[in-house]
Amino acid sequence: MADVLNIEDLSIEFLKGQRIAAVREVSLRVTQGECVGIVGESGSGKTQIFMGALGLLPGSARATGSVRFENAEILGAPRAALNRIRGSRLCMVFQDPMSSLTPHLRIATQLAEVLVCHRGMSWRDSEQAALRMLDRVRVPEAKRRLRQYPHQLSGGMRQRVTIAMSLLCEPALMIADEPTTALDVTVQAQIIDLLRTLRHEFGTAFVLISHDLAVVGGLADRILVMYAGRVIESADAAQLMSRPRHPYTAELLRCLPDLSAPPLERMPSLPGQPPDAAHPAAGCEFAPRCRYAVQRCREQRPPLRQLGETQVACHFPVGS
Amino acid sequence: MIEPLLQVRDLSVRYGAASVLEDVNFDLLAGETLGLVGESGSGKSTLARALLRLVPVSRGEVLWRGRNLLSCGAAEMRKHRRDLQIVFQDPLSSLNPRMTAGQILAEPLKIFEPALSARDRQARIDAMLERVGLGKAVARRYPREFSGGQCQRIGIARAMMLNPQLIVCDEPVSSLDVSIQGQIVNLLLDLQRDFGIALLFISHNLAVVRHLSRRVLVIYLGRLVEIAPRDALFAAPVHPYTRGLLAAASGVALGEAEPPPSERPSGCVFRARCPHRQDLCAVAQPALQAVGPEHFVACRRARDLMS
Amino acid sequence: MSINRGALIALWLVLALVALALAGPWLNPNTIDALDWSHVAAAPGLANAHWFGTDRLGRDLFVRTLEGTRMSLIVGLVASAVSLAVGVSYGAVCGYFGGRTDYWMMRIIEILSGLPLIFFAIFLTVIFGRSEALLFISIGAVGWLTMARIVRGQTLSVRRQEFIEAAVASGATPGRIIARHIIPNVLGPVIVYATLTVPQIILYESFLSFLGLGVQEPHASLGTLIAEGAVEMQGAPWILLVPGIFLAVLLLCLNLVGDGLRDRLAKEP
Repeated sequence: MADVLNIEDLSIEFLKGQRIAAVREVSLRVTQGECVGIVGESGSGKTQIFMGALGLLPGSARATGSVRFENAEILGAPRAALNRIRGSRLCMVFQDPMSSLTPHLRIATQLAEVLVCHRGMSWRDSEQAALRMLDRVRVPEAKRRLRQYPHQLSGGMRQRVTIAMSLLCEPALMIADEPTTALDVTVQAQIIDLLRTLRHEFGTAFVLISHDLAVVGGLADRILVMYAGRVIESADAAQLMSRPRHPYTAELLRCLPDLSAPPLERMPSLPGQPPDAAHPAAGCEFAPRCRYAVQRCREQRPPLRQLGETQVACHFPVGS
Repeated sequence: MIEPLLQVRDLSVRYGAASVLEDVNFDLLAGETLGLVGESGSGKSTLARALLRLVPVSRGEVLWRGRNLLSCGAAEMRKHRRDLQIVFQDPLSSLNPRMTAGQILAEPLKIFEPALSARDRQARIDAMLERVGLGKAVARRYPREFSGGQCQRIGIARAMMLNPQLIVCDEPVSSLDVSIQGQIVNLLLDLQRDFGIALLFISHNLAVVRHLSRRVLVIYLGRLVEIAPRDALFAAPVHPYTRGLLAAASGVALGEAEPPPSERPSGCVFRARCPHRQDLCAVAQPALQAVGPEHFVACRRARDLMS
Repeated sequence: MSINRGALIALWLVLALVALALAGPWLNPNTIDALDWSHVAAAPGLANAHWFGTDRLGRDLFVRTLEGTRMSLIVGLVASAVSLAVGVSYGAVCGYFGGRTDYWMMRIIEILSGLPLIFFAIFLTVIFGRSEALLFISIGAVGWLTMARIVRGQTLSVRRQEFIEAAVASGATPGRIIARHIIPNVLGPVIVYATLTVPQIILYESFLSFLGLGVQEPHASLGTLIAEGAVEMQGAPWILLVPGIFLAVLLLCLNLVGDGLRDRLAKEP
């Protein structure tokens, strides 16, 4: 299977007074039609990876490493080259649909613009294609919605519109950054269903970024867990959800709410604070919060290594 | 029969023609934790603010220890604020960026106990910082130097400074990482146990509400649709919306998409998305009717749905 | 302080000018009104004690220019300070209370904005005679207006923020909220505007003095000096150029410092 996206040793640093290493030596691959989930909390760097890949980082950021999309190097590529790919072959759907839609343009205009710019289609044909796409993403009364403005749509509908916008050019890869986080729980389930269906209909590869393991677990084939800018576990989704090898992953799973189980005395949580990117630790970044940490963990950073079918960065993986 | 600490009667908040809250009625007892569950647009944050008179109210009463807060003068209302506090959703923006943590905590003391000496005040601030797990060394730092969880602890400390009787928590953990949420919830539980404060805990997160609450209110588009003791609500919800919420939380999608803000249906507020709707549901919003001990549902088909 | 290079140089220049204006008179034996009949309208030079030359009446230009700078700075700073105090309080009250209070307070601002400063100043001078106090009054009457508008605008946006709600919920009185929560958080633009107000006011004052309303003989301000110099432009250009250059440099530097401050404050977290 050809690689759609191949990231090798990507590191991203921000120079805002102090050096902040947001992403550290991250490598990941996405093959055709695959759905890869990236899970992490604040400071994990999960979004920055793709901002870097798409060339959306601010001027004060420095990215090193390699990002190959459909066999072409896109890290540091000139803007013209990136513009050809972004929005057509490689699309990103962001967390807050209200901010990704232009408030003063009608939905029809925003959707049609994608095809006019990237495929050179006429406005009329583009609007027709947009209408068909809105149907495919299950927006009810699509014709009426096309004439409306973003603020006239509900949150769930807006998110569908942004997904539609991304799919118009039938991209090879779609990156969804926290696509359901800003939505109500009753709508979240619908959007996840939608993404699942679209995946099969279009055969697009997906990267699903979220802090919510449950959301990712329901959709992804493979999951990468990130902490303090590094990948600390990488495995098959089913494998990771049932047999996590890194203590952090295990804790995240423990924190997942389970409404069917009786309510607990204390709500599960991790002690301590998320990592401070400005002051990286010498050893394992998770050690201050890890219940199994010993001296070696604090001094020596565990490398990411293969353990059976999982890759894990831990000196004492769970179950060993 | 003990008089409830807080009694809300027919509370309505309207902005022009748009109704954000309509006919909200509930009681809260001293020391109780009441959960309020709702999604975006449900009016839950507006309710939190309306109770504290932070937004104008169109109609209704908020009886705090028997006294209607909405008819008090400004000076009297300020006196009541000592006992009726709030913790906000966004931990960082609820703290004045130009004040240190210590100064933020000193304010309630300066307002209500101006006679306190600087040293005594500092002692109280230090004690509270320790109590919320931050340690007194942080008093000199500014909000931007703290993480989200730490900011929220400061917010809780500020609410606790004068030992209030009720703290309204408006989605206090929603902006925090999942692994940190539990810390804050457990802190609130500890404080409640130690100080006997009542909590009105507002959230869209059912799991968290289940953890804390003795009773739960469910709100949809500005109206209370169900009130029930916690176990009854989670084990056997009656209102179709509550059922939908619980199903969705377990990953099952609720049928129709929610209508956009400008297109609210007439009659029952949930009619457009309800799988059990009938013609008589279009007539008017049903009132809350009792279906069990401390259990109320606003649905014409409640009896049918329970069997 | 990481102000940009240009602003930093400008700042040093302003401080140098201020130091010169304050200490200058001791450097030169002449006084502002001593008439030196042997050196009437003399060109600048180091030969005699008249480094910048003299004017039509033989008065030393060096000392008079420094006096003028001092006068302009005093008026500029004092009037700015007053407009700051009045403007900030007025604007914060308007913005915080909103509603009818805001409505009527803003109408007052609009009426005063419509007042033509020059006619107002002339009118007052005609009635009360020429005096420096009138200078302060006429500038003071209009100098605070824009500051009030700016602060009102800033207050309207700060007021919506959650920590203001938190302050209300903590039982703070409106006075306390305005003083402790609103004003400290609108200071950024206020400081920038204040530094830009100083040159504006100096220019106003210069203009009024140029017209003959304001600073009286034998005192000088840069405006009066320029007025005198304009008359002598053909024969003795330095009488105009010296105060003119001082004024231009002063205004330029103050504007650069203001810009630098704004850039610096815009970058703050």
